[in-house]
Amino acid sequence: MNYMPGTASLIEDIDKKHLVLLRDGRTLTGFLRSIDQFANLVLHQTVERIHVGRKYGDIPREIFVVRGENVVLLGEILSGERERETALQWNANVQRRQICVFIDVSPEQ
Amino acid sequence: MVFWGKLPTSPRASPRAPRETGKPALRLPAADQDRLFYSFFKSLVGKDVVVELKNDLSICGTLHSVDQYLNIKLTDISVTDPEKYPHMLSVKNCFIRGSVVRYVQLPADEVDTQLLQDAARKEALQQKQ
Repeated sequence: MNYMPGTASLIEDIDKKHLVLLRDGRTLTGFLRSIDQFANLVLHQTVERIHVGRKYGDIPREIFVVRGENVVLLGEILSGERERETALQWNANVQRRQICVFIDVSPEQ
Repeated sequence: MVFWGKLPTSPRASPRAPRETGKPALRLPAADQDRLFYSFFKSLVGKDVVVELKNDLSICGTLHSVDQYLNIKLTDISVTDPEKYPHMLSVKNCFIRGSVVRYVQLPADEVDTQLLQDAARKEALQQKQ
């Protein structure tokens, strides 16, 4: 149900999993729980994903409140659809509130 | 007696009445008097556009909806530039905040530039009054 038909609204995107691009280049994924007219967001079970070349690492961030002016875009991540990732996932036992360490495994020149 | 401001002239000019030029007037609903581009984008819903953002990302997609802040919702998106943005691969629909848009690229045959120019001039005139 669209509360304001014809207008772009985040109402329908609530409780869905989204990818959020921030102005500083960070990528967050999480469930959208709350919005307002400034596009301030509350994200639940947020994961900050850092890309390094073709690899990425995930940092679990729990709950995020994002100020709207920092939001570039939101993209809905459809559940059940396999992510077409060409990157190799590198999981390094990320513990709470610790930052991933990236090791460059490119072949020596 | 002193009158402040302009005396009402009669008959009142209606924005819907044809102007002296003889061309048909642009139908602008009263609520959108100061929202020309909002109305313009609403008329483009369903068309394919390319949105270039201030962070140099370009996104191609179908215009789904727009709001008063010119936030844009696109469906069936693809990143037009080479895939230096791998995280967007699995995203089909997106919401773009109006403040981060640099350009919205439209095919020329979807836009009546004459009508748009006339409407912009009319709005500028109304805002001056």
